[in-house]
Amino acid sequence: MSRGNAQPDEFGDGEVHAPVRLREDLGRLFLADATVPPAVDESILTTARAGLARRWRHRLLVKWSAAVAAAAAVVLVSVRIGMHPVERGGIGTVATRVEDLNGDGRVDILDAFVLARRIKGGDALQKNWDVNGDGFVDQHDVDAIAQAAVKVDDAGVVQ
Amino acid sequence: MKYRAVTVIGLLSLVALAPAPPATTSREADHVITYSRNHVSFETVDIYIDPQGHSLAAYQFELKVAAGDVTTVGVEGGEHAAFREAPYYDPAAMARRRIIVAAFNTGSDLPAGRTRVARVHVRVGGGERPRYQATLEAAADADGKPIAGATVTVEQGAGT
Repeated sequence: MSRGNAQPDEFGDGEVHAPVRLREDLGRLFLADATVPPAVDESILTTARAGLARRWRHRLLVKWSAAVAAAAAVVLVSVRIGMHPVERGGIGTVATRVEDLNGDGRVDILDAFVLARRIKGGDALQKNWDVNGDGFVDQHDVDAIAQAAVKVDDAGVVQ
Repeated sequence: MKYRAVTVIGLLSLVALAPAPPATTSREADHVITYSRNHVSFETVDIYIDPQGHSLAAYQFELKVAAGDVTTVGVEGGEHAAFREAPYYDPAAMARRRIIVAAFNTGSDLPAGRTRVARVHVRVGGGERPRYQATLEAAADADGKPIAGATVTVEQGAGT
């Protein structure tokens, strides 16, 4: 039996082998021309570049939006803090008000104590210690400072 | 049949004699405070400051309610004559879980040892034993100088 008329398992390897001519004819029949025309190639590349550019612009927009939102939040917080320089007494308070007589950066009972000692001792009193604005520096100002020192803000609201 | 009746009677006896669900109980000094879900009690919270041998002329502390249904109903002064008058506090803070209390004395008769500087009266509701946390924010001597090492402690006092 010739090889062109090979039958299944002719070679004893368990495989099915088609005749050689049949295989050649089938190869010619389904031979594909894989050459891509330059125009098509260019068109695909252009479309891809446009897509990538669109994506890049979108990412840039998202980044800038996040940056602007963060900056706005910072400004908002700064403005709120600036509007209420001293809302409470206690450690860590940033004090910019006149009640901070001892200049330690916060309003607490020691500021009231400083003023009370000066009043009691008959020391010279500064006009800007008139914290309640009644035209006098006296016990009422001491009380006003002490009240500012113990004022509790909304952080203490019952949950 | 007889055994079943004995078993039922035995079980009923166990149920009848079983102890009631335990209420949270706290023994403070010489009294007992019992907390139950529907019970409301009025208690005192004593704040002590130890100026470590220095004369205590001014103090400021923050008292926080760490646990429990607690409402401040009043604040009174301490045991030493220098701080016997009611201290400064924010009345609006009484409805909150945090209050800042402060006082000073410009006299010369000042405590130098551990002393009760304030007594806070509270209303306690619910079934949870309240817990408090105090932070000393300022303590100064007669010259207005901060006292390093001064400490603050909280003691839960008598209740009704």
